[in-house]
Amino acid sequence: MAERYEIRFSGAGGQGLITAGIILAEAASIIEGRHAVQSQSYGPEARGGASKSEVIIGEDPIDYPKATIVDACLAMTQEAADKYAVGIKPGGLLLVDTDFVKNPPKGDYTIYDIPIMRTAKLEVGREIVANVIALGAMIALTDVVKRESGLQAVLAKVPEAFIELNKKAYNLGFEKVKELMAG
Amino acid sequence: MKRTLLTGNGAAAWGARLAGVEYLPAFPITPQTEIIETIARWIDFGEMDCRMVTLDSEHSMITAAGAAAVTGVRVFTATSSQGLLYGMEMLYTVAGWRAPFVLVNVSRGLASPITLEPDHNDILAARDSGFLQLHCATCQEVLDCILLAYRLAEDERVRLPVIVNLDGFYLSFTREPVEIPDAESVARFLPPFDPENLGFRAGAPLSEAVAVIGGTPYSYFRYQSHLAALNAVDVFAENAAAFAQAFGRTYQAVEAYHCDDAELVFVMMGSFATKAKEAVDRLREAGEAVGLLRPVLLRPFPAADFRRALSGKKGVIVVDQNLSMGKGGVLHTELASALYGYPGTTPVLVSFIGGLGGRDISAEEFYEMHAVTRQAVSEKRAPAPRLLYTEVELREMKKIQAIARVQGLKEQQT
Repeated sequence: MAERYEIRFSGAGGQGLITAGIILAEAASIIEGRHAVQSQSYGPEARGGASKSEVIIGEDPIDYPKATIVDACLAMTQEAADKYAVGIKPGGLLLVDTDFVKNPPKGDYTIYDIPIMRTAKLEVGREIVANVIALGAMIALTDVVKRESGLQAVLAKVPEAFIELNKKAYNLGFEKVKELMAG
Repeated sequence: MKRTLLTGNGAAAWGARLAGVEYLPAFPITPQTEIIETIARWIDFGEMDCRMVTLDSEHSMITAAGAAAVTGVRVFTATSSQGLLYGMEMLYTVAGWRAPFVLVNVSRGLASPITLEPDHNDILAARDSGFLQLHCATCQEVLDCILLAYRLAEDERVRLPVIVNLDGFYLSFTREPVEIPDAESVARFLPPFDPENLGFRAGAPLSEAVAVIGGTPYSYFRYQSHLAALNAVDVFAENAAAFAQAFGRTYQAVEAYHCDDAELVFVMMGSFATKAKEAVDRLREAGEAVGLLRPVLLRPFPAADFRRALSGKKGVIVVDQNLSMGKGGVLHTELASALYGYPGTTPVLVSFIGGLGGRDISAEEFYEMHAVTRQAVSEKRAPAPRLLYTEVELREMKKIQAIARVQGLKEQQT
């Protein structure tokens, strides 16, 4: 079977995590020319409640498009962490929001935390870019695409007037995780 | 041609756009999908020249689609699950009119109980309606099958409506890289609809007769539709060859994966068959001679293709993502009737039901189905059909029932 790397973005509906998943899949498939698919949970839980978006990246075509058990998981809320951290591979990675996930579920994976929402609010000044911070952070954590590819995919998605804002958000997320991993 | 990430819904909308559809009747409310929303936006922004009309139900929507198609315009519409059933009466009616158009169905399990996740009982309820059916496993296939479906529907040897089916969520909301062909190449593959004698005008009837007819003309027209549907096997193959020439992607009525030297063969339809592909890869790594057949064309049923592909095989593992209560899996039944009584070794046919309401089918379950079938082959006897369901799931069910305080209710045993 083809080598595949699976990432889950989870949090509350409306936090932009489906968009984050789409951008990551675009970075891998359109920009880097590899294979990627993105899927999302949708339905009654799509607004508020726990929502998730999953991306599978591989060097070969991906037969089955749904993530099964993931290599890395982001959880922006406690509810999402409780619900979705169980499906992480042994030795995998879990990144949580410091302020919103007070009790990250323990398991056979490494847990990292950065204050994603707080960074969006205080350092960028706009909570709406939390998903772009999260994306930068997950790319730093996993190295699943190049830093520049992720940034390029983000910027391809946003209107001219918001380019600087999103660039700042992406870089903040990326650097905070790299600092954490170095320390 | 450009390559982009599209959901199954997005791919369906692109298929309709590239086919140059002229009329889009739509019921816009749930369970309608983003397919209609996407096309509506294109029409609104002037990117697509198409007349869209919203209607009060799927019943009216399919009536309008059929009525427009027999006047000689290219028609597209879409629905999902309960919506398809709501329009069921008119599926039969417009198919009897020999109205050539394309309807996309996003497959989801039917009520009751209620689920939003996919299985195939909705689309199989339309099995005998006279609509032809194409079943997709990838987002690319959704786009391509819509183009293939128009050529099939409009062919003078066929002249029947076609449903293109994709699984809810597994395709409808999953983004995959899709190659969008350029409009000029599509126009060469699929020229504007030439309706020939199909120019129905209510005010200018070609002839007049009674509205209700007896068994003799009724049987004649019904059988004509059947023969036209059977013609679609060869017409599909011709169109697929032209498609491969134009776009480089090959489609077959029954997709075969590692079947040539296989002893045991999985048979599945839709996107869940991609799980079987991975299982086949793993089993082959372990030295097992196993393959997969996936019908893209379900109506007409490609019986001869199945007979050819399964000739000399020892066992067939049919995984049905549907359940005909009191009988079992529909695909299993269809396959059995296609194989029975033909010369050559008939393989042992083992039936499993799985993936109802979007329930996952794990790799381990594929290995187990393979092992069970291997055993059945050695004993020359097929075991009773089985639902894929684990002990953990059953315990979980009991827990839920305990919370709901329904212990002690009688349960059917298998």
